[in-house]
Amino acid sequence: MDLSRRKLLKMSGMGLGAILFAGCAVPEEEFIIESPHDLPEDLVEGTEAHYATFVNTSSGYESVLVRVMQGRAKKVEGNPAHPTSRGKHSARAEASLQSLYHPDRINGPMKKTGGSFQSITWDEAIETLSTQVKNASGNAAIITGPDASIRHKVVNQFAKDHKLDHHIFESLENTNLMLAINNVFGQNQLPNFDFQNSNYILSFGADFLGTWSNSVFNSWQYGNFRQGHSRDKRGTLVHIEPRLSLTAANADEWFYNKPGSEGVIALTIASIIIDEGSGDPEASSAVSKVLTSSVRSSLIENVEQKTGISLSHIKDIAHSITNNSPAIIVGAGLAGAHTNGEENLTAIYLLNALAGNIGKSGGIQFNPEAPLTDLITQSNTTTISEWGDISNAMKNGQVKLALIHNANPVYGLPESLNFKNALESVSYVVSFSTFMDETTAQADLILPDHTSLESWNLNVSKPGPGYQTIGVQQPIVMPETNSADFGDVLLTITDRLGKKPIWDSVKSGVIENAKTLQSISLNENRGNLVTKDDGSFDLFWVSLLQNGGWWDIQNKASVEFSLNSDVINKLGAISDPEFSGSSQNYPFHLLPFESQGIGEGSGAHLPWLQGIPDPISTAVWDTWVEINPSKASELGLREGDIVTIESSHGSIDAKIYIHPATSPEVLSIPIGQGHKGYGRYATDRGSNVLSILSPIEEKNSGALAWGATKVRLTPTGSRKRLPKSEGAVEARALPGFPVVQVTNH
Amino acid sequence: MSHDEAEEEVMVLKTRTEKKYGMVVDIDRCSGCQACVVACQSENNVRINDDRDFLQRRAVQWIRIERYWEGEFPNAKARFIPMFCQHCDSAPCEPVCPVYATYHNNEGLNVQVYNRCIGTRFCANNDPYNVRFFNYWEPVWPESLRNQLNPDVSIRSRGIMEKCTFCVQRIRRAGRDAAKSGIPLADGDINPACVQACPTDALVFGDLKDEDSKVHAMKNDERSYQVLEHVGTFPSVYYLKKVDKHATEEGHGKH
Repeated sequence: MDLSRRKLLKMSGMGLGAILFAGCAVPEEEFIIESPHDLPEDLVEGTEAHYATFVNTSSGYESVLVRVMQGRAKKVEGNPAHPTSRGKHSARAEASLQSLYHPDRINGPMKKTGGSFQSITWDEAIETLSTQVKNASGNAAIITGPDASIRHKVVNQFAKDHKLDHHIFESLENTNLMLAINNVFGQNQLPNFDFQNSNYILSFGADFLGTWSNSVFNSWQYGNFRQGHSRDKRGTLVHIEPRLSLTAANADEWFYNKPGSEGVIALTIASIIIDEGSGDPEASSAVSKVLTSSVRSSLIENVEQKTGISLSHIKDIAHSITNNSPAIIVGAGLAGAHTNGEENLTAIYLLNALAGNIGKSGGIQFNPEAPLTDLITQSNTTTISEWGDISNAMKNGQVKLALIHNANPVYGLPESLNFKNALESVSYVVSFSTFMDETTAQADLILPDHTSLESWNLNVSKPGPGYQTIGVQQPIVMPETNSADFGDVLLTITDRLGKKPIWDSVKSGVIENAKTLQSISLNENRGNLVTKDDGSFDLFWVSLLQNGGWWDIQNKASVEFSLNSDVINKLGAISDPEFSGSSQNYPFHLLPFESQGIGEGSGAHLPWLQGIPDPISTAVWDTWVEINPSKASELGLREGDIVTIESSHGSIDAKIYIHPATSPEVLSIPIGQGHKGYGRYATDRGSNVLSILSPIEEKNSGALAWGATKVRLTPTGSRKRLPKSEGAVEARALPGFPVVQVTNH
Repeated sequence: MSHDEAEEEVMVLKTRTEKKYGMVVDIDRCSGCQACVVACQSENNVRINDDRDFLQRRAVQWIRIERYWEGEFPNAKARFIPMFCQHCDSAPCEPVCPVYATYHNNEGLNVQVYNRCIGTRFCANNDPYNVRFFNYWEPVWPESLRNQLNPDVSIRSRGIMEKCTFCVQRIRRAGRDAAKSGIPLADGDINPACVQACPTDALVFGDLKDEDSKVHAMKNDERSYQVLEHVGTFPSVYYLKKVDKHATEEGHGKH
């Protein structure tokens, strides 16, 4: 029985004191001392509101609800209604709050005069930019990050109207992956991998639980893949990668393969499936035209020596794929980061055809195109070979104006390209960054953009859940600084230069597209939203904003699919990977990996993300190099020893971390630190491994082979402790009573 | 006191309470992604942990992912387990507090009263799970980041102990909302920030006394165990064992 003060007084007043005292002996009726905040009479409760919107993290758009109190964003939570969010969210989405309220946000438009930035008004900023765009027409470039939204349409249109070259910057480019997806499936966007209904997942370097693709949706599916209530048996995950990524650590079996040999493994698995006649008959006969019996037997014979994985293991995997239907085979990351990356990934995704899982539950489900033409869903990342040309053009003075938004190429491109110098040769550089990153520091004009939580947009999930899904991003707080929407600025400039902009503002673009969605909902009677027959827009608009988007579960993509014989023909002789640097001078393979928290560096300014322990090493706020324990003792290295990692194109310093799951042949280093700017939490911390990558290209696509750099290691003789959570505090296990308990059934 | 006697005492304690909030963690689902860690820091105004905090072993993480190694390359394995206050029925941290700053409330929560705490750190010393954190410094946020702080949660000043509360502010708010609306609380209505965020649904929260609750069903799963259960702490948190068909012995590794 709970007694509040007032109830007690009331009862005493009614002469019930005796009963009260008698009750003291009985535990149920003892006085429970309540802390003052529990007195309902005195409590003034803050009012909270939740708004659905999207945040743009380095791993793509996430649908979230934001808790707002008194006009301030307090908490990010996953949107339970959205198909790829399911009420869940990542650490990166949560940290968008710190981006919004970051102390080092650029406060308003600024112009560089005499080497330092001076605040200017938005009128002056727009005027300056208009003049620059007008004068530089034909000799200008706009550089943005990858995007799949209507804002991207604004950029495309702007580039077209004013004759700018549009380049898309991504430090770990997906070029090879998208080519492979197109080669095998004929699709322009990633399909949905229906992990949750699958029985077996074979992953080649795809860290789908950590840093690759939509990890929140993948993780939600993974939970059900393991212990879903409707499953007969637990799914099995096998991961092949030269490094123990988060996904590898969660796999039932993880195999180390020689870097760049993923395609050979995939083709050997295909050969075994074809030999045994256990695969999809149509696909088997198509593939066997190229994988003739002599090719197959040669693959099987040499696989162990070429890949470092024993034939018996590969046979087990091949059998598991066909015995545990539906199985999904997925590849990304390091598997595509080699000179033969496109071939590797093509061979890997081809296995899905042999497994016969395409269009099936528990298999690969294609994503249909969005019903709105204003939504640009595909954009080709500019490859490293193209960046080389762009750099040269800049150095030759062919680029007079560069506009840069949501991209930090000065940080993210290998130092050998010397993009910093190239950008200096551009007469006028305009940055739309919210933060003073390395690229923005070189700008002549800064027009800070809103953060995700302050802007309008309409986007598609990448990848979608297998049906049409459109998300709405709405501002949930007033702009925190004197920033302006990047899209709105471009539209204003177009207007100022006497052309008709596609919309007045991004918001009006969102509304216009929402009206199109309403008519689709009404006329075709589909979608998740309430529509009134009279066609009034208000109700539709409100319910669109409340739900965070529009989706139509019924609208699935066609599963029509046939293997492209030209593509298969190319797989007959998969080329050997090439590496930069001789084995003699550079004995280690360098495996850069995206950080769980700070991503490829774009999250380095946020203290929550810096403070997330790396799932495997548990290290934080620093750059470390993971080395095999025996190798380390052979070289006399201990944890915290500072070593120089040198490639043929540069060197960085990092602290040693002894890593029991690292092969003696490789060194792995997290990407993301080593910023020269980017706010107080990122500046001068650790080293940037991207800077020492050799600009070695995938031989067909020209994409950066970021896994193909070889390095050597030299101790510097100095030592500093590595900040990490491992060993600092842990549950105090007693012998025989481990903290993590394991069962084999 | 023998183990049986202790259990009996705990049973008496349990019958006295109306509710008993608890959590079940399926470590076969947990991928170690750290989403819970940041969700907790955001919800509970946990101070910013910089590198010095980690170097001095003073980082505050009400929930953390512990990683245990097993084996050597190429057969090395890393296993993850989320670790946070177990809200023990027989909590070793409670009786040692000289000022009763930590006690057990009638909902089965191990509660820390911040304004009673005098910072002896006896509780942290006695805590076998290492989930209590002492504020060695006044927490500081740059002025603008303070906009994000949750008004439902007090900021802990220097010199006091803090720990996981099962997001008691959410339990309270849900209770008040239920009282206001007249709709009784249902299983799943209350979710601490970590549970809400968890992308793999590895964490499940609820009333262990409610026989229809999800946690009640899950704690009786054949994979269920409790961390350090032999110590006799009677935790309110149950874990479901990691499944590994190649496992030869039960549990392994070092942190």
